[in-house]
Amino acid sequence: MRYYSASFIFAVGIGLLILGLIMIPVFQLHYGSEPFKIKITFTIIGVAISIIVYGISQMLSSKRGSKIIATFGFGLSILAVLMFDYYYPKNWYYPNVTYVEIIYALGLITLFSSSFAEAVERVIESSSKTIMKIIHHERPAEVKNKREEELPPLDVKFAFPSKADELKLEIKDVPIPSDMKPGKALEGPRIGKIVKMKDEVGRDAEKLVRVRQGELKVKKSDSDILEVTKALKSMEGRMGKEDKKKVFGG
Amino acid sequence: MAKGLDVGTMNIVCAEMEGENVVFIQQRNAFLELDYSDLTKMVLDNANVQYVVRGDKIYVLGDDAMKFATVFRKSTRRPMKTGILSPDEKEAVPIIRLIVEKVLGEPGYENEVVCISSPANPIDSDIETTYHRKTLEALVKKLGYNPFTIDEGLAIIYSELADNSFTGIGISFGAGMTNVTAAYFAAPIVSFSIARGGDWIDENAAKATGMPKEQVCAIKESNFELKHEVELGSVEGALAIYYDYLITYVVENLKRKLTEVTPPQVDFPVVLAGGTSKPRGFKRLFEEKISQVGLPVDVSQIRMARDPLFSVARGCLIAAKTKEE
Repeated sequence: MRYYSASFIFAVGIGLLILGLIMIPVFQLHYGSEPFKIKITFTIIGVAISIIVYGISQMLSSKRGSKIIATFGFGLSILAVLMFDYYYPKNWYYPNVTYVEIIYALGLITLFSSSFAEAVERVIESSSKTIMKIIHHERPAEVKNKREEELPPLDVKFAFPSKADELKLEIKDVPIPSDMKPGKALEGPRIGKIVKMKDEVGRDAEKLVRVRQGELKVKKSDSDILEVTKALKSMEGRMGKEDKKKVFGG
Repeated sequence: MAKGLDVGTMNIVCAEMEGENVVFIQQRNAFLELDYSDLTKMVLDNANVQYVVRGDKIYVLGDDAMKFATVFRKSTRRPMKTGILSPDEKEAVPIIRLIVEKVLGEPGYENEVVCISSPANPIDSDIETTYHRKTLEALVKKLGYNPFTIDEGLAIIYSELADNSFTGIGISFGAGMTNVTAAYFAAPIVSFSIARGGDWIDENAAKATGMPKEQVCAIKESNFELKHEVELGSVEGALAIYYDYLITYVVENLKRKLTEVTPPQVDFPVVLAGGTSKPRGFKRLFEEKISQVGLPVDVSQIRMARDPLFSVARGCLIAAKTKEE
């Protein structure tokens, strides 16, 4: 989910930047242009750059700390843009100009630093993983980092024992020693605390079979799953017994 | 028909279908050794206590062992230790065979499928789980069943994450061990255990406070709550400190193991189960640790299993049903 929202933020930033750049020739901006035109154009460009870098940073950062630092940097740069809007044009002179520039630069530096640190960490992790793979001769169970749509149905043999894993040794019975005599309470077939509850184990087992056959896909969020589940349930409710069997199995 | 069997250090639970219901049969995996006398035998018979006599000893089994331990002021013994058959306990195999036989019952038909939970190999100890797994498989096979084993963590995923296409992280905080599995489409991508669990918490809290281990365990299982404020010197305080340590240890190792593979970029819900996860405040503490340590996957939610004690057995039952012909 993180990747989709980060891509969206990045795309919005690029869109705004293009809009701001288009406005320069449209307004024919120069030193003596109307303050309103300069203000609106550079506000859009300023916000766009911050959003683009924030999007990149969100794409890279997975830790809570990095996210907080990136959000702080983004806040600083937006604050600088707001200050520009406030000061320009009447109070746009030293030291206000310097304050705005410094705050904007600090914001961008913070954003870049957080992204850079995260990128370096990933490079280090990826190198250590390569070493691990070499050591373990490319373990087959590793799942590649691909989007879910690109992944072929997994071979889940390793979730269950294979034939080769079955015990081939003939094991003698482990008899209860002949001198071990059970008391009266052990004469019944079973012992233990009994709890009975209504359950849908059968439905879950069917789902497991379908997942292992690659028929079910993972959904991106719980709300997606809820939606699909609701739709399936309402479909199921409208179907006759025979149709249900055909569609849902069982 | 098929059955799920959770063989834990503290409890043995069997799950099976009965019409639309699931029936769980639970028994403590413990026994108490008493000296034989006709009087003791008569008292136990009158109280309908489960026991066996061997030579000049009486072994009280299961839940009754726990009850009588307090009466006779003795410690119970366990056929299992740190998640596997105890190498120090010479009676382990016959006793566990007896308990498994009585909990599982006779097969409904020849070669009825049974899925047994098994711990994954621990990452912080040289314990090897193959002997334990194979012994249990052999015991159950000799009872007329067709057994196979799956990791405890995977059983939790099967039990709790059907609506997420069996993708997520299942953690079983047991008495002897903590088992962790991360799965994608029901296939484990990371599976490991940690040789610490509820017993480790009890032992260390008992050492720290000078209280008997059984008493610490009783406090933990009665009304214990994990709070932010810790009263130093109290048993509750010591329990809270060791709970905090265990959870941090589990989360840090989970992060490390997930970093070694490249997990798919999808939402990973986390489900917590096992008797050690039962105190109030456990989930909150776990959430705090996850947010402090951070995982290299997107954690969509953290929740407790519907029934933390039966979750593994239910997952095993689901796995067994898929192998039914």
